[in-house]
Amino acid sequence: MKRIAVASGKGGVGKSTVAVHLALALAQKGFRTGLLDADIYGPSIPTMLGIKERPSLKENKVIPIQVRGIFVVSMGLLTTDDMPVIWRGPMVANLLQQFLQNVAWGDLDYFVIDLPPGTGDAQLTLTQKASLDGAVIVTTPQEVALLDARRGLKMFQQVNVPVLGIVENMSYFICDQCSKRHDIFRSGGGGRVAQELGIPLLAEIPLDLKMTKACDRGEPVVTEPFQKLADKILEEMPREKPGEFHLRW
Amino acid sequence: MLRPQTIQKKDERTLGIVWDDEHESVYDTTYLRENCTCAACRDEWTGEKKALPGSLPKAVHPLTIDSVGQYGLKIVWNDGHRTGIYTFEDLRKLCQCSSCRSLVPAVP
Repeated sequence: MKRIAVASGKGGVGKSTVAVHLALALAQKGFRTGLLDADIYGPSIPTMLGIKERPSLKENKVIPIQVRGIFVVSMGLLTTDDMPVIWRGPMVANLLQQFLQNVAWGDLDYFVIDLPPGTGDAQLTLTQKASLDGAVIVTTPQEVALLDARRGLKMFQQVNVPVLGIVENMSYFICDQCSKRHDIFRSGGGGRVAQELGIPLLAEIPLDLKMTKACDRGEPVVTEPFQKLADKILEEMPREKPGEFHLRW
Repeated sequence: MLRPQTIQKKDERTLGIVWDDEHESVYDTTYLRENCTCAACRDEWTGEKKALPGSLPKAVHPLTIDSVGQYGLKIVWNDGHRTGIYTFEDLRKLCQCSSCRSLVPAVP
């Protein structure tokens, strides 16, 4: 199983949108794909996938919800819509460990983990416990987002997780009236950061009103930019992960 | 980042690590324990050691050593200490082989 973390330094850049579409694209390629919404404080994946039911338990393990060909677990499935999760770091770390260990994920080919924004407890727990094969950093073209993207990238470098590349979301907008491309949040920022840090720019995803509406309805559709993103990630994914050490004295 | 290829117990008091650049490190276990960088052993602001060298029992040795993600090792010690994560970067700096010891001073 390959574990891919989808991360961002800053919130609101479309990280969950990228994670959902990436998981769906991988499933459409025939891979058995799991999606963990690790954004404990602001889980949005159940809405995007139109999931209403709660996961069931079997032999003390949570059974992930199967939807559109992927297997999903999210904090949003365990709380009611408007209940905020107000937890300290150790609680978050514990729950994420439960999500990794006590969910009957089955024999997955790909496991996509949608991280909360930033570089905090959840990120640290997952880099320590989930043995990630690679991370994808999502950003928008503005300088404030790029600054945080650099921080996110450095966090993964510090803990030796290969960064597969940068995804620039909300890259541009094609007007449905004049068919002209508009670079609403400036242009080329993701590419510049990728070049500066020596990692690939995996995709430039346009602002797409149809996609936004589809996600709000809980009926996402894998469009071409996301298919290309999945192809690129499969290309960049390291073939082998270094082994683990366990020594009894 | 350099990574260990193998880790092994050389003897009761010595941990051996062979790195992917083929360098062979050796560590006296008490020295490793004294150089734990966890928040209980080292001041997080000043970096100053909280336990003074020589204040630990001489017979301190690991019970288990396990990977932490892909960047370090967690050592559980026989004196009950278990919160230390030794990053590969720190471990390489702490190498006590005869050539490294003459180059790099022990962490103060």
